[in-house]
Amino acid sequence: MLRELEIIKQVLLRKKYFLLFLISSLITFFVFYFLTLWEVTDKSLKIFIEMNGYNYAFLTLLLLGIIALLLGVYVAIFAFKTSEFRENSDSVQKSSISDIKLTRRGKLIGFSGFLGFIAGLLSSGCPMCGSVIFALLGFPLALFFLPFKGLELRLLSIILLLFSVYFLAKSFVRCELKK
Amino acid sequence: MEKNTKVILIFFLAIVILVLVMYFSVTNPNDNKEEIVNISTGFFPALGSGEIKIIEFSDFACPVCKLQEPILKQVSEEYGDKISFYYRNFPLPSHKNSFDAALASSCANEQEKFWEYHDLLFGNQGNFEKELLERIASQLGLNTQEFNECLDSEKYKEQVNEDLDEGKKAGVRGTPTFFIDGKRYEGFQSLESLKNILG
Repeated sequence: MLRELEIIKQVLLRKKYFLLFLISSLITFFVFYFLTLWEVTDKSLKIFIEMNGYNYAFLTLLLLGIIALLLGVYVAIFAFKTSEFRENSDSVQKSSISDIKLTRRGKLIGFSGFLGFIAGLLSSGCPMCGSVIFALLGFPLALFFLPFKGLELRLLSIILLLFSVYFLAKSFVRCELKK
Repeated sequence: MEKNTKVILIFFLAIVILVLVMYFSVTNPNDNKEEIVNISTGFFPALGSGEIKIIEFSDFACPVCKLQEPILKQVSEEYGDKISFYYRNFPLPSHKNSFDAALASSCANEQEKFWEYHDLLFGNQGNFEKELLERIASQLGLNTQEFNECLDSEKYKEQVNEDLDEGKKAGVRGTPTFFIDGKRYEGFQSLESLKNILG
């Protein structure tokens, strides 16, 4: 676990990847924030708090912030893996190097990250006034009918992203000697 | 059972299954062998003169080895008098021009600038074309004519191959691989884990 954290830290200490992390996190957060307030009158955070309560609003923003940060980390280490490994690989043997998209493990990590993002996206909405993403699917008030009004979706998103970030970092703890 | 509770249970069960599948599909390369391997320190000068020998098998073109570098620097600073650190070449065939980079590091060693060259190689990691290797040499003030002749003639090819062979015999399957007082540690090592090993 420490090793994977240190790998993430070392990747983020590099300017290029830190910028990527920062930009991805900010964009994600603003998209989620925007979607959350989309159906609220005047798109006002104050009205959102009045309708859903302070605790719910605080938890919503906190969890969406965590999701955005995790997504940023995921994007940065994914970019590191794809660009750095590919840059250094021999073109003749490129197919055998870190083609994470082709392996079962890579597919699982990617799928989990994607699901995490989708769960975060679905959870971005206001349970009392509607969710724009669920509205597109034909269930505008879906969050209202969930037992924890969408907080469970945010938690699921965090869990999935945590695992994809962890396993993605774990997948490049060394450069393999191919047989 | 209430419908909502069922949904939540199914939901968490699905997460547990997903986590288990992922856990078992990711192999852990840190299967450090308990056995002590008698391995030579190679051809390059040691950093430090302490009693604990750290031998690293590394590849200048390996991104993980590059990530490891700042941590090794920190360890060297903190344990300078307790450790002696040795570098051994293990250029992976899957990495572009990494064998040339290994040869170039031996040529730099001939002019007693191995560690300086080593640092610049990692700093310029990417495509190790001959032009880049020569530019780094000239940046360090090496005798470029001698360096180029050494590189062109592959003077230290045998030396690099010897490193590779010994590494393979000692069970090196990738880079970085460390032998600390003969015990093998595979893959990236965090600062904490190195501190734990070094005590």
